Amino acid sequence: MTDVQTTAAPQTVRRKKTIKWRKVGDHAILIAGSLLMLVPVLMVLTTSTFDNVTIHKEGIQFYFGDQFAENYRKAMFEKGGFTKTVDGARMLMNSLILGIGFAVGKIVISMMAAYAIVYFRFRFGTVAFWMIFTTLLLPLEVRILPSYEVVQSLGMLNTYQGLIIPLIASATGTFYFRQFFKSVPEELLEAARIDGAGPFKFFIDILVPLSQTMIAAMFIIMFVFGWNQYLWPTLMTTDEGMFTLVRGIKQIMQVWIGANIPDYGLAMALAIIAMTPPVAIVIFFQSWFVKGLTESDK
Amino acid sequence: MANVTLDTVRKTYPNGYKAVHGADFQIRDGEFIVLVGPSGCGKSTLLRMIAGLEDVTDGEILIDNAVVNDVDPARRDIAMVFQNYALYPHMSVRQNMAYGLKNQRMNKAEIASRIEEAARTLRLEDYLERKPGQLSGGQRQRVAMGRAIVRHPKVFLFDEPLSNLDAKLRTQLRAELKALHKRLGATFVYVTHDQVEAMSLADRIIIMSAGQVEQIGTPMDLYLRPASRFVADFIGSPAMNIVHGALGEDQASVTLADGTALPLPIALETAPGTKVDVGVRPEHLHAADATSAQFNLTVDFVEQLGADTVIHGYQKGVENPLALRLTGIHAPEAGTVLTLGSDAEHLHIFESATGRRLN
Repeated sequence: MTDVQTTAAPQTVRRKKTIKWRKVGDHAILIAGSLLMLVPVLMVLTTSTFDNVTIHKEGIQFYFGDQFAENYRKAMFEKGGFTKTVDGARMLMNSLILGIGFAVGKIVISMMAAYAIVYFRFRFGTVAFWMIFTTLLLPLEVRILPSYEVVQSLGMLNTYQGLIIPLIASATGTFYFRQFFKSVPEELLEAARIDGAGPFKFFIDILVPLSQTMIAAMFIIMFVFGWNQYLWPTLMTTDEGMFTLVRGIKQIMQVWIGANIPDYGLAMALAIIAMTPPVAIVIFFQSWFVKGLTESDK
Repeated sequence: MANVTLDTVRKTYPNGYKAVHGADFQIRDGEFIVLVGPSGCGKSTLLRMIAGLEDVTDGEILIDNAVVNDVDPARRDIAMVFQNYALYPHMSVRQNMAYGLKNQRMNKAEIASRIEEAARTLRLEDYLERKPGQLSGGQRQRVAMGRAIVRHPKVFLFDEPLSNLDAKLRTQLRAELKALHKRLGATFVYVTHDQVEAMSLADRIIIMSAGQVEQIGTPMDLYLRPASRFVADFIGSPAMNIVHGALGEDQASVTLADGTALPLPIALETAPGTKVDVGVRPEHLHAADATSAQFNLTVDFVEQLGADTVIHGYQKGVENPLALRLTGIHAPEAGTVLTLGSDAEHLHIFESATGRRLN
């Protein structure tokens, strides 16, 4: 017994060492990876605290300057653009309306579509599902001109409805919810039927609460996706009062009249502002997000 | 409280599969009926048709003398307990039980008092605010029963409710179910594939095979006088010994495959030469002297279960292995030959071609 122990001891020590080195290696790779992602963001943050002249003369800055308060105040509250009617706060609100409307709309529509596909037998139900599914392959850009035409002829240009409604049909969402509903045990539906719950009640009382984590996961994905839309709002909005943040940043850089120096600091500040809400939402919903995508236990 | 009548009920699935070929029986008020059979025999389909979860292709189902073929499950005044419990995972035990009553727009005080009563009956008082995920399997099944009880239904339907539980819990819940039936006095229809459950719970058993009702009777009817070879084989553990042969010229013996004759203590009226299956339960074989012996069992191996001993062996001319069950502890050597006999009332003779009982 003692022999075994004495010979076993050094071995464990040696093994510990190798594990340690490996961990160092792993961490080095992870740290390098995160630096690669974070440093540009950090540089935008530091640069956004300088005045335009400095940035124009010296380029990207690696430390904090003294213009932080000034640049962010300007970005948020100073009317900009050609018409001087829109400020950062307004654009932030537009972006939020687009992001939330987009996410909520997509969730509502795709949940209802998935409910119909999974729980009701109707003619061509499967065909309908596969048609929805194949549209996954078509990016927005493919149908953007016809969509523009439709929105334009409905007189919905420069409105929130025009921004949101044409985008809320979601194949991804429908597909995810369909998979989720299919995993809900059939007996639950039968128990609910015996308990006197009709189709509407079953959906509201049973399926929606069961889908909570799924809804949260969808909300994050869709919100970020909607928030980051660039091409669509660019086409749909000509009125600067309807500009979204993502679109507005571009606008600032374009104001290059005569010998003016572009508002670098402002644009950087706006970029940071534009980045904050999606990041906040991801951090806030993170645990739900992971649960929604991995949880299969009901 | 109600009776349930099935009048030549058939079920054919849209894909053409015939699940039930004409079930025709009556369940009396307050009776504990167990539908039993191997998987795929149509017993669950039958139960689900009574519940209204499955359409009836042909025939009529009557609950309390009213045809319910087209009545919504919620309006049939039935309650169902599922194998996997089917509790609403996001609701507490209390909400689970209240859900059906709320949908009936029952007033809150009445709901509360019914839940109180059911919780007391099922010893669930301490768990009312928990979610199903925090309960054990046995507790979940009790909640499922509670959800059924609070509705005060005419008929309780159980679809293999104990199959997901371990053996010990199953025995315990079986006793609770029996007690519950006694107390409520309601009609219970219970589906299982486990013959022990069927035997211990049922007032009457309906045994099914391949969509057909094989026999309806009390557990002892089925055990003592199985109407067909299928029933004989299904009820009892270890299964009944079956010996294939042809009826001898004297109609009181069976000629086995190798030509030896197996004497029967009774005479049949069937034509000599008819292919028959002779069945005798392992516990109905007893020692006999060489002159009156029917079987010469060569011991193969022995299962000692404590309370009784099951001896497995074989006999020349008999294709199937044979078993003998003795009370107490015995340990015959492998290879020993035991001479065994049986009594006329314990012998079951079936026609091979139809499986029908002949004696």
